[in-house]
Amino acid sequence: MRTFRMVVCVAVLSVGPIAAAAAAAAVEETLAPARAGLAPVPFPSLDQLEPVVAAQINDARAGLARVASKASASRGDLGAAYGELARLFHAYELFASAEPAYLNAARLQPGEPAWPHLLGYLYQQTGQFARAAERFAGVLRLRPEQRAAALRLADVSLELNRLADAREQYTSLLPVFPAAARRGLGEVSLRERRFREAVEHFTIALERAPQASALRYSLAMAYRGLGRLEEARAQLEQRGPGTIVAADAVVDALAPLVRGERLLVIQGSRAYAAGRFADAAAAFERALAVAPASVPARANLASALLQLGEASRGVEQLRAALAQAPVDASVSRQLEATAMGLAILLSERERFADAIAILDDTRRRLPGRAAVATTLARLLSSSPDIAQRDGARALALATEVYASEPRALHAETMALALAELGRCAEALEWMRRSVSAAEAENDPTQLARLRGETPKYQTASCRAPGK
Amino acid sequence: MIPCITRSPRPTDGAAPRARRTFVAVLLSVAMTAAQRAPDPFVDRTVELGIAVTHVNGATGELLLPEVIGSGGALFDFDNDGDLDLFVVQGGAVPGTAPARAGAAPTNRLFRNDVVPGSLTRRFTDVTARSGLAVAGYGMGAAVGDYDNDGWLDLYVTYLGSNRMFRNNGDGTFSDRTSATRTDDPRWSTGATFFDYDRDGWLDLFVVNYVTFSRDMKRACFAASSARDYCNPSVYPPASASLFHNNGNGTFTDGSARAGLTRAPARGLGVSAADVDGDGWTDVYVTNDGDPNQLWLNQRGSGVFKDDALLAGVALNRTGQAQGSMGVDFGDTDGDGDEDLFVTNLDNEGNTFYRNQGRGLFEDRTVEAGLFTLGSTGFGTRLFDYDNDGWLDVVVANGAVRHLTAQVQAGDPYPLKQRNQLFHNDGGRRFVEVTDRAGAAFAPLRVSRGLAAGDLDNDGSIDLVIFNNSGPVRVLMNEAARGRHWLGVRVLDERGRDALGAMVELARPKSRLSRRVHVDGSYGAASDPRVILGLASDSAAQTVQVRWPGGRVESLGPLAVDRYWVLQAGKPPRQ
Repeated sequence: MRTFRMVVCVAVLSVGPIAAAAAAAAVEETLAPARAGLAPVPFPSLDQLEPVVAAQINDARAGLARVASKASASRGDLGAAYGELARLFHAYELFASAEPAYLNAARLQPGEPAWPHLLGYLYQQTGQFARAAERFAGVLRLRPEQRAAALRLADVSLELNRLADAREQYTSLLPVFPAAARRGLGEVSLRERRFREAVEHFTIALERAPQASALRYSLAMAYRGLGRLEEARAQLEQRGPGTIVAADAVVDALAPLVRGERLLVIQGSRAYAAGRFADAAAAFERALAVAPASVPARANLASALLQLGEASRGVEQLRAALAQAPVDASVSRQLEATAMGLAILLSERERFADAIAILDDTRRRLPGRAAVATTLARLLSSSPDIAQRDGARALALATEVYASEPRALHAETMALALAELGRCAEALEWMRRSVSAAEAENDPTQLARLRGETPKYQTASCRAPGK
Repeated sequence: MIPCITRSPRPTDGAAPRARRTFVAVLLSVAMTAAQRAPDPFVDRTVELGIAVTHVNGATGELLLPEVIGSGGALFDFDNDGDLDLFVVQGGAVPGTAPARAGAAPTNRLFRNDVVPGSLTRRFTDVTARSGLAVAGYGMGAAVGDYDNDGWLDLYVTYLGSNRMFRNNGDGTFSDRTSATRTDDPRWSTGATFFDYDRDGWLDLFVVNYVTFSRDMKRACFAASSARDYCNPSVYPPASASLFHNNGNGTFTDGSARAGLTRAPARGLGVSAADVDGDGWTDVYVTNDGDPNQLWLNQRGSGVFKDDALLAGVALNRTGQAQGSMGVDFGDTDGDGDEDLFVTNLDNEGNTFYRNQGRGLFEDRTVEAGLFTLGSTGFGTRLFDYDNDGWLDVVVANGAVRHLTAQVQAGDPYPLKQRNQLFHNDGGRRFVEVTDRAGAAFAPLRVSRGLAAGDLDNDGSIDLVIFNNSGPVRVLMNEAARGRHWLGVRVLDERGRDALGAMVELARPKSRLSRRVHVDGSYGAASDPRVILGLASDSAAQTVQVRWPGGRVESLGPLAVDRYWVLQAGKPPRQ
């Protein structure tokens, strides 16, 4: 598995001072070897880092200097200090500094498996797979029971196209990591074009880890190889971001080292993108603990809670995020998407009043959003809870949206609002417009749906039924 | 080396003869090594050719996304004199920002390829001033095609802001016909390509758009170290592509909605038009930055397209991840008669090679092909046979989009520089990276973006033009194909226009050479429409098959090698 470096955006209104800092030339500094036979470690410029991150790295550097200055310090102590500094560099993806620090740690503590393990992971992240394989093999020589390193070795073998090795390694891991090993065996089979075998492995992996929706792409490719195109398409429709995450205590211990709101938001966003919503929520909560006014952290937390099915907490966080000001466009979009998702979830749970309230809040905070206005108009005109309906307001919203975006969907919203007001002839006319617009938009699915809905407006009472 | 030696004190003691002998031996050794070493495959001859133009990205320290995206250019014969001229797309101040320098805004540039009278030497002359192309704007890329079928190649230039259609007047000048042709797209356009999707004989236009951006949407983004960095485009809303149907009367009609494009916004950068599913109708492949790539399958010229990239296996990489895709090219790399696909991506993803398994289905075979490397962000690319051995090699123009820590530490004010890469095709089996053996032309670290390929000196070898962001355009002349035989063809339709999409095929002892006529692909660039078939040591006259768009096949030949031929539909071959 490859790990992706990520850049994430947070709301900052003025970037002038930061830009000026970026323009200033950084000066490279090197930590001289603490003992003969060790490598120098390039020390990154900390000028542009978040202050809390810079302070953390400086502390680790000072820790190393303290140990190094003691003549009585053991090789183990010095190795541990190099290792801790390396882990910090690694957590912040300062790879060029992390690598020699790990090498020093490994040289000073040759019996410590964490350093080759982390070095192997670093090489895996940066595409140096042959080196990564050497390191993971080294870990297994030291500690054969370290199955996480064995799984990484298998993944690296796959990247190196050493398929026979990978097959053997994954097979040996079936009792320990059944889902991850099946995923790996499926990948090996797929590369060998043994599609039937690949289908079997991926299917079992999905049975064991149903959240791993990304696997459905591989399963689809296996079905495709067998000529079973409809099954392939069905899998593609279900594919998502979820992956199989095998526990690796050594690597997993890097993430908690990260401090600062910016990076915790990045960490949470990565977890979210991978479908690990609980991890994502935890990271966003840590970010909020550091920076309670962080709108991105709060909006992201609302999204993660929504994914975890915790609608009430999600609503609470979203409202709090909406109450904060100001926000930039990307955060606005995120707030909008979160609000829409929450409104839909609340509607599914028949909490229509809450859904309308959320959309109202969002509309006040983020005016001019067609999707929010449309969803609100639709709820106000056709909510199964008749007490929540307000045809006049729905029509006003629908008219405003249609005026700016005369699309099929928005014409249908006009029809729904008019129907709620009992203006059935006009509603029918708008449905016809909607069908014409769908034809022009060349959207066959929408067209079929709208054609199916139109007869409902031809009756004397065209109002949507309630409960 | 030699200046150092000559500046050394002359030996004055008794050791002089011995030192002199050593000195001579060293010189001889150097000379012999040089003689034995293979010549560099490409040599940078930008200065000798008279091309001096530097891209301006308008960076002011705010780290605005547009700064790192442009730009490209085009190799095309605008004056119909039989050689390739050069058009360079220029940037400037990012719209909404103040120019970094006072003075006139930089403009696009046009260089005419001339033979110096009385010699075989070539020289490019800057003819921008009278061309009508000296237009300022934040340019991105260029597409080339004869949209009005008058026999002169026209130019479409994409911008952050309104695009421009420049009609070639045939007298060395161009007219801005954007408004008259109704081909403007005011969004942030990147790639574009001319292609005749409905086979009515008029070139239509596909325009790729990136994200919705304005300076008031500026963001502060951060790297994993927490340092400020350029933003991931995912922080901006994606934009949909546009399709303009050529009405055949000098105007186009926007067919984007009917085509189904408006319902599928994505952060598009590269584009290539090819008949991917082999049904005789040209499809369109779009590379997207962080979104799944799209394969718009042409529904038999109806104006409707259907994205089937997922099932075709070209939307994602082999593990089902969407990548930050930029450049693209199709080509038959294994001599099996169908075209494979190469896509360039971010430095932490690696480029992706999709092998065509037939019936329009592809498999990610990057690792197996030897093309998986991390550490370089690829933009422009071309599958081309640089040594005329009959197998398509790969070149990639690289340059990061996020700060490179080592360069930040070294104080580089624009720390995105990377080396370009060259991969040699080893007999259709796999590729071997030969960048380290590619000489000084591949040594510099630059922020490369567009890449155009073409035979600038008509010697039968494919040269390269690299368009560097915030850096100079570089022209790399091919030296690798010397002594190898070749057959060059320009394939024209009945009207005399480049027969885009036509396939030129040549049977070889163990494979089949198949080369499609195309100028698009890569990144923001247009390349030479001519096809060069590398023949290695085979000097015999060759008979080629041309598979015309629509499916008609014609055998033409025998054609003498080591020269260009014009193959025009319905006419005998001519030189």
